[in-house]
Amino acid sequence: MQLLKETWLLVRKDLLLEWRQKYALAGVILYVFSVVYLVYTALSADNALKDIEKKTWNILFWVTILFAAVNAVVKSFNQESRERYIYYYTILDARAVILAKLAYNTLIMLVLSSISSLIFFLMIGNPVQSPVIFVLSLVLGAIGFSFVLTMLSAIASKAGGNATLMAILSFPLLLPTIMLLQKLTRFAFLPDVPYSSYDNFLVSMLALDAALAALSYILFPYLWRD
Amino acid sequence: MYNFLKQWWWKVLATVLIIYTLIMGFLIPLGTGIVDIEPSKTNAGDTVQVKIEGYNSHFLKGNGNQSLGIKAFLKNDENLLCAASVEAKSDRTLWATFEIPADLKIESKTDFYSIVVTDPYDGTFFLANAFGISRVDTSLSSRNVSCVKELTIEKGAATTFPYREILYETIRNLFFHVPMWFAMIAMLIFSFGSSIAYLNSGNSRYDIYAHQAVIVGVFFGILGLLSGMVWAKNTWGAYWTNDPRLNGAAVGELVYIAYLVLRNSLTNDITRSKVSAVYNIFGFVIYIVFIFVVPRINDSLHPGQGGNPAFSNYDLDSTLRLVFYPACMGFILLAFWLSAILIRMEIISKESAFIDSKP
Repeated sequence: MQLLKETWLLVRKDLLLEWRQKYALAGVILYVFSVVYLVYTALSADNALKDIEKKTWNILFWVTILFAAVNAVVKSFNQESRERYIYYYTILDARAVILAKLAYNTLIMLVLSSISSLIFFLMIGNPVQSPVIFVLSLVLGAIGFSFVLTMLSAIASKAGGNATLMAILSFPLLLPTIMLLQKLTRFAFLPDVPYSSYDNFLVSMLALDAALAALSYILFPYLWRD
Repeated sequence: MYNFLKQWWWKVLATVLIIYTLIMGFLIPLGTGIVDIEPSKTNAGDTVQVKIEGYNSHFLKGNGNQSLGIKAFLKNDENLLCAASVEAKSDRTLWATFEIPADLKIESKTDFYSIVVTDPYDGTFFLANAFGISRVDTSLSSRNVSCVKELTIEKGAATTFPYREILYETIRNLFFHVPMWFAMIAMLIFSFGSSIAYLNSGNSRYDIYAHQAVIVGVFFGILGLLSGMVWAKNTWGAYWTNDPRLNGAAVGELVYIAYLVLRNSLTNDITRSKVSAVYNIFGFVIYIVFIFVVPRINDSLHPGQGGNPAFSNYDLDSTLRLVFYPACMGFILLAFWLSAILIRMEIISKESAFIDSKP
């Protein structure tokens, strides 16, 4: 109970910080918009926008989300001063800290990926025909990305929050997530897909997310105790 | 663990097994096969003399010029035709005369037949779907043909590796390419276990184990990639293909090279040990998920996947296993041996640094 209370307090603190600073989320959304606009101008310069393939849309979408996610989550463990983290360390349970970060980053990723898909629909077109599958893959993707990246940002912050380190650590580990998501999203482009044709990917994705959450929960206390 | 690493008996075993692998893997000959036939098609009703070019065949062995006991067949799912006469010109060339009945039942315009040869010394071998028989006159009624001579599958007298089209002599790479991956996975499991032990105990010796095991694992991974790329060029036609196994291997290398970079970027000893142990455990679990889940989703060109036959299907008399299992064991032990040397060097250098620092 104490754990959940602490977690809730920390999530509220992060949300409050975000609301006051309006820096991280606004910055990342602007980043997504710039990337999509770049893709848009590059495609329309070649008159390729009209007949952009679903496959290309799919790849562009997830790569954009990937880079946005790395930028959004990399600051998780070094946006506040070092003294304040020492203060947290003396009063908080490490598991509450990681649970709060996981929850907060998942929330950020959900907002981020919904806004990104809106920008994609507006500028590059909307190939989605089964919205339920698309929303499912967005949610699972947000969870997967935030779980991997939260833990890795905790690791990278120990090495001074180096962005290059974050990228080389996270990209190989995000590959399984991206591959599963891409497969799942492909079904969203078809109308009336029976559940049995994509349940394989859905279950794999859920299992991966569960494994990541369990690992983060077990391993983070070792990182925190420094 | 450290006591085991310092013992010598398993190093002797590793040496023996690897020498055995090298000798047996290169000296056991490939089984008999058919390289080419000439001509490769004919019409129903003709009598045709087919020149069969054998590989590692012994058509003259024990028979002089008599070609005694050699039988040749043309076979598809429905029909079995046997050669009227067979004549061995040399150990490598065999002439077989077939009389094709004019009313042979032909399904499509041209039916493809496998050519099968049974030799008392070399056993039964064949070239699949190599000989085409066409029907010129379609007015005749047709019938299925079955030969009087019986086609029995016989085993050759010598111990050989299976002869397969496309693979040919490269089948020997099985004893070197695959054990590299087993050795790498063994090292990564060793490293994973050491990292868990480190987080549990805080003993810096386990951190050294984990680090050195990753170095050896990455080394064997690179060897696995190189041996696989050469093999892929010879059999699939390209050094690199978009294959789930290859992606898994590449991702594994990236994850563990990133582990080594992460270690170098941390300067404080205890922080480095802890952070890299956490990354090692996290990365290992995701990597295992990746290499076991993703190949089940995408098709692979590798044997035993995506409808390709596994090597165990070729290995009817277990000659491959006879070398493959010792090879795996030998290379896994070699990997432990390498890591043991690196670990002892690292421990000695740490200790001497500690002694030097004392006044």
